[in-house]
Amino acid sequence: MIEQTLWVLFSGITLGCIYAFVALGFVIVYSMTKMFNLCAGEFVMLGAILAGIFYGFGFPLFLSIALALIICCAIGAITWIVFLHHPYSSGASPLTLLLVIAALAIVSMGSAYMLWGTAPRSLPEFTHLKLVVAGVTIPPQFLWVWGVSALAVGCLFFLLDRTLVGKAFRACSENPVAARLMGINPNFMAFLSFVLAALLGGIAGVISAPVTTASYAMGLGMTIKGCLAAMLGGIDRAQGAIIGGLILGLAESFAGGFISTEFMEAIALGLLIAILLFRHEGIFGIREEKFCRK
Amino acid sequence: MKAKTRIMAGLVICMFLLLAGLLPSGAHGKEVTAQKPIVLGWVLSLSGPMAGLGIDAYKPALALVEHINKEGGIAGHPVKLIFADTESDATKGVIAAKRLVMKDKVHMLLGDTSLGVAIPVGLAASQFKIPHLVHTGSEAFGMQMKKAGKEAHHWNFAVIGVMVYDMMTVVAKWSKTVGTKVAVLYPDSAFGKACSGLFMKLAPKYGLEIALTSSYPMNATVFGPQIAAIKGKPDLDVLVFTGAEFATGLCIAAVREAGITLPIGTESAMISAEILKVEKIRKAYQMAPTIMVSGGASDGFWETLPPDDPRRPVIAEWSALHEKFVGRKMSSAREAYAFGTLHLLKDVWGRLLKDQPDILDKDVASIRAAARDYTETVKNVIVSSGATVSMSAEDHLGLIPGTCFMLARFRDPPPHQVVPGFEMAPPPWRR
Repeated sequence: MIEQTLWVLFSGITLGCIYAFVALGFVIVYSMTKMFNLCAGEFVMLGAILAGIFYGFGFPLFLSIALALIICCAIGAITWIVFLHHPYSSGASPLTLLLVIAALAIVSMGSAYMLWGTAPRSLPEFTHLKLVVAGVTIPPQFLWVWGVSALAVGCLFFLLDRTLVGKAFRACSENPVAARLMGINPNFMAFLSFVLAALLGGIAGVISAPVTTASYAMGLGMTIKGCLAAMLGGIDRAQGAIIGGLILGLAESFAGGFISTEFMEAIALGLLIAILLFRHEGIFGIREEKFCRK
Repeated sequence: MKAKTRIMAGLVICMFLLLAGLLPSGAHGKEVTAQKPIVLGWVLSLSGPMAGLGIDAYKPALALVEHINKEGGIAGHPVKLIFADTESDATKGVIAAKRLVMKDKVHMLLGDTSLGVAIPVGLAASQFKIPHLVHTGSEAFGMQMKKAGKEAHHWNFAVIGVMVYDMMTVVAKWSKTVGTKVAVLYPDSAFGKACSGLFMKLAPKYGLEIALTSSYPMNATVFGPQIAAIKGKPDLDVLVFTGAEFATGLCIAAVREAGITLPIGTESAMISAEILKVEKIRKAYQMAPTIMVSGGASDGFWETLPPDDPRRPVIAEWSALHEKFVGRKMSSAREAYAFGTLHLLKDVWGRLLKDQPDILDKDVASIRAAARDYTETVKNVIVSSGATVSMSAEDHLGLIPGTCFMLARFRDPPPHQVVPGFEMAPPPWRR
């Protein structure tokens, strides 16, 4: 029983960390632009596939990963400049932005299919060091997922809390008009948020690639899970995205391990609905005073 | 402005003349292929989550059609093959089939390997009154068509690899030595659900007890819940994986990495060249105990067939064509799907055109009806898995028991070896 519980727990945390990365991509872009970043999962796919390709060419593992992450950021930057900057800066409605970004996600999946086909790409485990806890051997890549997640979250909070860019970022998020009056360019901060989301997605892709295999169609599933995690934690709170991702991952894992794998997603989604029934804005979301329809 | 208009007008006239100049070459082409073509429409998942299956069939199909046409076609008639992508979506599959039937006026429909698409297209084919031949890994298609009524059964045919019955036979034989408590693990796909459903339904008849069922998403990232579920049942004797997707290979790898050493039985698709490229899957397969793989004779180990085996020259020819067009030897029944399907059609149209040389001059409905009748009378034709099929009015699967089956042991290089002397029990409908 202990062994079973530990397996479920470790898998749940790993899944949760991956979901949290994608959810952070949602939250960062949403808090800046009020736009649902439906491309978040596509950057997971890009990061994983590109790292697999570079590794396949014979590049060292960590150089392959670095190149993949750089390209993810570059593609994120180009995507924003070419497709999203104009509608965003000209004040297009959130629905228009949503349609543009949904179209970009579909184009991204189709382009990946045309460029790289259906053959999956994989990366080897980063290290072979295994940790045994109460008789359960934790796969080495799980440890990498946990470690990189903790490090990335630490860096992100440092960036947001302790740096000038982070303060500008938060200022734009809270009040873009006041931020503009203080000399901060909200368009540039929105651009930065999108590139940051691309980087986070890319990191999720490269750390999960040795656990799973990367294929052109993997982005959509990640986008859905990331969106759910962000909604669960609170779409406008970075810490909410992390907690939301972990809750979703653990709920899926425990439901699958102890109730039924056939219904694990249904159970996890049921939990999401239950939480949102009582806290409409998510666990950490900001409650806004709204006109009651009653 | 005027100059611009003149340039534009000049360009339009040039384009017009160029197009007009091309017309005679089209007419000339018609003279070369004076015989009317046999028009086949193939509804195939070339994109979307099931694209792996479709693409494995696509290139070999093109290769074989080119080969057939170079050799003079079928009874002197060239074969024209039109593909329509379903995008792995049932609704788009039905729309694609409708376009092939109504617009392209195809004489026969070839169906998608993905069951989720093949079944609705099969139902549509019976409404369009066009023969629909599906190449799929499980019996579920034929069963669904029979369930759907006489018309659906009348117009639909399937060529299968009898995966579930193979595996049932293997596991039933194991159970005598290792035990009867079986865990069935399957991906959350139409194929995975159909195969596992059939396996679970038949298990009691073979003396097996299903102690655990566990599914995993096709895009699963980690397999902790599945491993926990297996660890939660310490009295399990055998693990059976009924999927054909990458997720199944990854799940097998995760199970072995977690230190679970129960015997594993799986299907031929799990030893395809693509799947074995993934290092962690290949490594897991080579861990003890041996993984047993049941599947078609064409699954990469046809070279171990005896020299006088009638399947050998046929599969060897397909493998040579595959190597020529795809760049490597054929290594899975999936890659042989197209060869098997077109091999069967060559027989159908060869007999039909021999008996009725003017059939292609008739109206399209008559051509379709005749093609259906001749598909139903196929006798002793070798198809993809190496199986020999003989269709009849009652049996549109037509598999002759034991003809396709090979059992392989997956262990140290060479990656898979045939288990000698393993006999397959006939499937229930033949008993």
